[in-house]
Amino acid sequence: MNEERDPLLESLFAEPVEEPASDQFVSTVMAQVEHRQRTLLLGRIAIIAAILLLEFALASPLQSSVSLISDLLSVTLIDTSNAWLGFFLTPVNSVAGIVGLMLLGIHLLYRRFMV
Amino acid sequence: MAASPAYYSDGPEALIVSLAMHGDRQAFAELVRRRQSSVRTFMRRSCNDAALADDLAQQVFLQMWRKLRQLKEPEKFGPWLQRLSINQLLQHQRKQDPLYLADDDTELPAINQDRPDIAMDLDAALASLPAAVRLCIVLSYHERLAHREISDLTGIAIGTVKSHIRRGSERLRELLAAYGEKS
Repeated sequence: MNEERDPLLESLFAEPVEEPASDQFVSTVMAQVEHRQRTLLLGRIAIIAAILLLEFALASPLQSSVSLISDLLSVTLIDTSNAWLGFFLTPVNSVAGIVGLMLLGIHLLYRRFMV
Repeated sequence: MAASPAYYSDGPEALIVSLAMHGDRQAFAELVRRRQSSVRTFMRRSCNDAALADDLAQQVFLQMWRKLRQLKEPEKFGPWLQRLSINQLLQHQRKQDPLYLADDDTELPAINQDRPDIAMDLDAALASLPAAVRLCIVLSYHERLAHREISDLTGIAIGTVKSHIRRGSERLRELLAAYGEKS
C-alpha cells in the first residue's frame, strides 16, 4: 500500500503553529476537573444521605411487620384443656404448624407427580 | 512530601502518566501542559473554529481524567490520547450532522481563478475542503496515521480514505503552491 505523503504538505503540517495561551488552558481544564470532582463528591454524599434517611424511615415499619407476622404464626388454633394433648399437638396446633404442614404436603405432591 | 514542579516537568512521560493514574493532580496538569498543543492544533485543523476546538480539547482532557485508570500500559498513553481526541471530534461532528462523513464523492470547491496569487495558509486551505476529506488529511498528516488506521477509527471505507487523501492532497498542493515556490 503506497502511503507516501506529499513533502510540501508534510513540511507545512510540521511547521510550529501559533501557540495559544497554554497556562490559561491548563487552568481551565484543572478548574473543570475540580468542579467535576466536587459534583461527584456531592452526588455521593446525597446518595448516602438518602440511603440513611430511607433506613431510618423504614426501620420502624419493618420491625412492626416482622413482629406482626411472628405473632400471627404463633396463634393457637385449638384450645385444649388437657396438658398432655396440648403438648403433643403443639407442633401442628398453630398457624405456623399448619403453614409448615401445607408446605410439606406441596413438597410431597410435587415429588410424587412432577419428579 | 509533595514533589517539586521540576520533578513533574522533567520526568519521563510514562512516570507522569502512572502518577496521574493514581490521582496525582499535579501529574495530570503536567500531562495537559505537555499535550494540549497537539490536541488543540488537531481540533483546530479538523473543525476550523478555534473556540469550538478549545471546547473539544477540554472535553478530551476531562475524559482523560475520567478514563485514565483504564489505561493498561502508561507507555501507550500517546496513541490512547490520540484515539480519545479523534473519538471526541467524531462524536461531536456526528451529533451536529449524522451524515458528516458520508460525502464520499463531494466535488471539491473550485479554486478562485480571479485571484490565483492569493496567499492561503494551511488552516484556510484545509477549511476549504469537505469535512470528510479534511479529517482524512489531518489524520494522515497531523496525526501521522496509516490509511488502515484512519479507516478503522472513522468507519470510512479504506478505498474512500485513500481517495480522500489523494484528492485532498492535490487540492492543498494547488492552494498552497506559493509555499512550494518559496521553499
